[in-house]
Amino acid sequence: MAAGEFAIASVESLGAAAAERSLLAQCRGGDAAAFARLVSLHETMVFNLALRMLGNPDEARDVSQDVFLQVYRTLGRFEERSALRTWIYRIVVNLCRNRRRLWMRRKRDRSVGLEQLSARDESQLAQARRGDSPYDAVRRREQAERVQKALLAISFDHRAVLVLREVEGLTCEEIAHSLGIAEGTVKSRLARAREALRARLCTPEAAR
Amino acid sequence: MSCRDVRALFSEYLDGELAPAHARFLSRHVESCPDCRLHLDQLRDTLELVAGLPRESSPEPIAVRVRERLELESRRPALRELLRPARPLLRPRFAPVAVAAFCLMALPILMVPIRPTVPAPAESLLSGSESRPLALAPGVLAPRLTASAELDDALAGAPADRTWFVETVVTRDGRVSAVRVLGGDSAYAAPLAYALRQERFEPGRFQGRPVAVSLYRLISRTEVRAPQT
Ligand SMILES: [Zn+2]
Repeated sequence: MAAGEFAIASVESLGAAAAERSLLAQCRGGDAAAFARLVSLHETMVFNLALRMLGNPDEARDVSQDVFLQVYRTLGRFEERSALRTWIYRIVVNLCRNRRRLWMRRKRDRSVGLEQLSARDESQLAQARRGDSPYDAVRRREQAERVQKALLAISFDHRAVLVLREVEGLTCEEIAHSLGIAEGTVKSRLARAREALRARLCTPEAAR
Repeated sequence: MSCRDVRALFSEYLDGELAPAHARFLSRHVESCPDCRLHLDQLRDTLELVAGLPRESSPEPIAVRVRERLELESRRPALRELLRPARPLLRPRFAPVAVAAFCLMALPILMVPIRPTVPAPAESLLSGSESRPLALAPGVLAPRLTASAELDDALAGAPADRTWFVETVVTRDGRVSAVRVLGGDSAYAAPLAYALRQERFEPGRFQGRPVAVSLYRLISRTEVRAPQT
């Protein structure tokens, strides 16, 4: 399809920022296919951020869906001075915080969440790492579980900066945008968060 | 500089954000101080572990769920109308309406399952699985509540005039797998969803087999007096 090829080529030549603007314009115009593209572009990062913040894949999936519905409904209010990505991160963190607050009252989340995570991890790791020996796969899974458990044990705010920085690779400036806090606050929070996690993972008393 | 001061700078040191003179000082200290060296190594390992967390994928494709949700909303122009006052919902066009009031920690919540006028599910479209729940169409036997929810403190504190329009999916084993608060004060969406997830049902049925059913419900706090004792 010559026409289709031309359209794709012209979008790609716009550059990432301009392509995002044009995608946003299409979404605002009610183009369902454009919004579907926006969702698929960001779905993995939204799900993984929610997963690391909550530790439970089913909750993360529900939050991810809510995130995109909120994106859809508030697209008109998004200011294009910041990247779409940072804005979406902010929605993810806020929705996770709401959900987490509720959980904290119930104090029953952790064991359930981790069991579910490990059950799913198992099959996925087995698929993803066929080249590995069974020992490696198990070791990796256990390690991921240990890290996730430690992440859930530190405070929500510490976890948020840590995941945005180390997993999502945001700069401190981007994190500041995402969380609506000063860059200096991000840096000091990050230092404390890293230390808190180190203490959890590396000192035997804290691990239990 | 004490070891404690040195360690306070490790985070910036690892990010390469220290001034060159400070960074040199830190490197020298770490070389000569085994405790700080261990601490720094542990910090590096920790960050590597976090960065190495596997990228997971959602148990279900999120794009599909979002699209289905938006389609559902666009196919229901009456939705917005439904969300306004609580009363008009009880008009005959939504009949039959079953009304059930449950006593939740002495604070009853009125839950009105809503039966929109939906055609009977065509066999080809029919699945009734959790990812494709059925609407309450003719021939679909509605799930029946067997265990109500415990009212969350936050919800118990909601003003009495609040109402919410909610979609819940009741699974084939009678659990509530998804709760979407479609309308109402979003500040209470999380506790409401939590409460509803605790409900248990006799599952809905279609042609004799248990099916996942999507229930649209209007939930309102009703003004009640505590029982006189
Ligand atoms: Zn030292």
